[in-house]
Order: sequence, then C-alpha cells, then structure tokens
Amino acid sequence: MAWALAVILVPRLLAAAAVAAAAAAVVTSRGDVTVVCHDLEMVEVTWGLGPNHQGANLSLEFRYGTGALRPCPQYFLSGAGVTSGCILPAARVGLLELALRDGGGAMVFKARQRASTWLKPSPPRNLTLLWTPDGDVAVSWPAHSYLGLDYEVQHRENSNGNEDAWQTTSGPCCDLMVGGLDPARCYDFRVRASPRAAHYGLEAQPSEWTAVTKLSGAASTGDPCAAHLPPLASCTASPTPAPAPAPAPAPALLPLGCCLAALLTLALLLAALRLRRVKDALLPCVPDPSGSFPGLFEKHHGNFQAWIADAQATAPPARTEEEDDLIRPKAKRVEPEDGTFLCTVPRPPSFESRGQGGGAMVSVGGATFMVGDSGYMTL
Amino acid sequence: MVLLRSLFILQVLVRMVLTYNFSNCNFASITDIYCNIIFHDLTGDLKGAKFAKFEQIEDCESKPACLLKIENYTLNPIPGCPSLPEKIFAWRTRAALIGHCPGYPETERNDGTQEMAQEVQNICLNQTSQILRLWYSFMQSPE
Repeated sequence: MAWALAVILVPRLLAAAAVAAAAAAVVTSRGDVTVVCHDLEMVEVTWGLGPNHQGANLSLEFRYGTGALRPCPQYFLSGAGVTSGCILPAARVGLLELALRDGGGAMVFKARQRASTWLKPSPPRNLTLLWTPDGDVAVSWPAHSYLGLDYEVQHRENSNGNEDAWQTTSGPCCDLMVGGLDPARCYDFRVRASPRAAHYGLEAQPSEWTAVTKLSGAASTGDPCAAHLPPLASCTASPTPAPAPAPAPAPALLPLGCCLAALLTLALLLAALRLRRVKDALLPCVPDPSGSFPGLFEKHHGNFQAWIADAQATAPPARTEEEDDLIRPKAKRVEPEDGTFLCTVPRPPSFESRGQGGGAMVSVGGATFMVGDSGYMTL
Repeated sequence: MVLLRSLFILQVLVRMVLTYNFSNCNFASITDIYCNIIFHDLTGDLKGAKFAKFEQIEDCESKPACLLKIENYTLNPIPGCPSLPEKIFAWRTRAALIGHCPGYPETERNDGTQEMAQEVQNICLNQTSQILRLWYSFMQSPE
C-alpha cells in the first residue's frame, strides 16, 4: 500500500517542484524584475509574466535602513491569480532593501539601494507657452518637489503627427526659451523631466511626455507688435488631447415650432371669426324672442299674461289662407354697439287699421301693404 | 598580542581624533567638480561592468557625512584593490577636498600592506560602485 502511494505521489511532487523551480529560475535574473520609483512617492516592483512564468506565487518583503523586513502592503495579481507585482511607499533617505522569494522561501531577487536609484518623475504640469516680442517662445512649468532634474522641450511645426520632426531643447527648471521659430506659423510643444545621471544614477529614467500643446502664431494672439503679419489658419493653443468639446445643447426647435403654429392658428381663427359665415358656423346666434312680443318687456315688464290681454284687445283679424303667402323675411343678425351678439327677429307684420280702399294695412320691413278683399296686396 | 591590540586601538583613536570635519567645505564648488569631472571618471572606470549587481553598503544623510564616507572609501586602500587611491577619480577627489575644504590635510596616506597588493577586479569594481552611490547620496542630501 505504501509503495503504491509512493509510486503515485512522488512523480507528482517532483513535477510540482520542477515547475516551481522553473518559475523561480525565470525571475532570478534581474531582467525579469523591474523596479520603478514614481516621483519619489511610491515604488512599484513587478516580476516576469512571460510564457515561462509557470504560476509561481512570489512574495516580496522590504525595509528601509536596518529595521525589520515588512511584507508587501499591496500586491498586483496576474490573470492566473498569482502575484505579479507590489506597490510600496518610497522614502527619500535610507537604503531600500527588497527581497523577493518563492513559495519555498528561496531568494529569487534581492536589491539594496536608495529608492531614488529607480526614479521616474511625473510629467510636468500646467505648461505655459508665450510668444516674446523677439519672436521666441518662452516655455515655463512648475517645478517638481525635488532637485536634480533636467527638462527636455520638444517642438515641431504643426504637421500631421510626424514623430521625426521633433526638435529638442534641454535645460534646468523651470523655463526655457525656444528660438528660431516663425511667428506666422503654428507649432506643437511637449516637455518631459529627465533625472540627471550624476544626481540619481543611470538606472533612473525620464518621465512620460506631456500632452502635445498647440501654439498658434503670434498674429492670432492679438499681439500689437505682430499686427502686420498675415492672418493664420485656425490653430488654437490648447492642451491636447483635450476632450472633444461637449456639443451645444440642441435648440428647442420642436416646442418653439409648436408654439408658433399654435399662435398662427389662433390668429387665423380670430381673423376668420370676423367673417360672418364663420361666425354663424362657429357661433350660432341665440334668438331673442323679445322682437316677437312687442311691448312685452317695455310696457308689461315681462308679464306675459298682461301682454296677452293687451294683445287680444288689439288683436288683428284672424289670419286667412292668403296670408300664408306673405313673404316673411328671415331673422337677421343685428350687432348692437356694445359688441354683443343678438339675434332679433323683425317685428311680425302688423295689421293696421283698414286703409282707404277698405282693405287691411300691413307693414312689413318698413313697407306698408294694403290687402284687398281678393287677397292681393298693393303697395 | 596585547601590544598589537593596543596599537590597533591607538590607531583607531588617532584616526577618530584626526578625522576632518567637512562641514565647512564649499559644497557648491565640490558639486560642480563632481558633476563635470569626477562623475565621468567613476562611470568610465565602471564601464562594461554590471553596475546594478553591487548592492549599496552604506548611505549618508547630509553633505558633510557623505564627504566623510566618500573620502574614506576613495583614499584608503582595501584588501583586493590596492590601486584604488591611485585612480584618476581618487586624485581629483582629493584635489577637490584640498581646494574647497579649509584645513583639509594634504599629507599623503600610507600605502597598502602587502596583503592588499593582489588586485581583484571585482573588489575594485564593487568599491568604485560604493563610491559612486555615496556621491549620489551627497547630491541628494541637504547641507
């Protein structure tokens, strides 16, 4: 039984050891381990992730000076879930000791130097470009919080991203004058900080370049001294890559159009209401019966009983069939002066006393007719 | 045995008493000489060597303290590198200290013993590396 277990387990153990050894051997050489001190504030240690990295989980310990070794405060993990790097705080004085070990405790990488040995500064910020009256460009930027840096200023004529066209001017902090430029042209500028080798050593590396800043010619800046120069094409001085400007909010065309249409419609409607036909169609008149009962309201104050009694006392003779042939005008609209709409029915034909011919007198629309015994009307 | 021990202790004490105080040096002038001359001598001496493989042994936190250690490492022979004080960067370091540190002794130092005669290149490279890193600390340290 024991032999069987040994036969099964020993090969597996040997294979695992070989994998660990291979992984550890990969990072033994310093080329697999990189150390970068970002701006003298933070140290980043990363170890190999190449095809030879067999999944070994390495651990990092560090210390400054002679204190006790401390474990890495923050690891990076690779896609396989094993450690691939470490972030630890930087100190400007004292020697930093790094110890990278595998799972079995074997040392795979060791270093003991000042953290500044691996310095990589941050790019300069808030780059300022200014044309001088002499036609030079004054480039300035705020200083870093530590010394020992040189700065490289590169410029090129505003071409289509030609990387070979950059020209370099170097100097200490924190301003440089770039001459030999044409104030009538546009230029691209960028700057980076470079640790001096005599200050930090040969392992320190320059910062990343700042974003390209475009500078328009002196004529476009309103410089009175350059007023005689020809106008330039558009070349705004802005720190690029600036984000695309946010699109201006679209005007509220739809609500505005709707409002205008509504107002126009209302105006047309109001104008149309002045036409009689439209008025009649939209606002039919309310008939006023007072015309049918003359004197009802004037004499009898709306007392219909009294009006009937009065009307009977003065009632005309009974209507004959011929009277049905009388032309009765239609009710017509009468617009009183106060603007109200009233429908007045013309007074019904009144039968007056008999005329000289013996026939009854009829007044219709201001005209008086005499109705003869034969029923014919004569004027 | 007791005599040798006494002589050794006496030598250490004398060295401590006679150790120069570098606080009054003209650090600006020494910085210029280092940046323009000594640095190039040191890197030239280390050219081709895997500089990074040498760990830094000592550090310093002020310019006077750094100059003290630089002077000690540069001008004193060590077993395996007796020629170190005769290298060009050592001569120029000594000249800078004499010229810009008031009262710095100009007396020659003793040659190495016979035990130091055998030159070991790796030891010399390591020592030169230590000197260069002390100069880096000098440049980064306050006065």
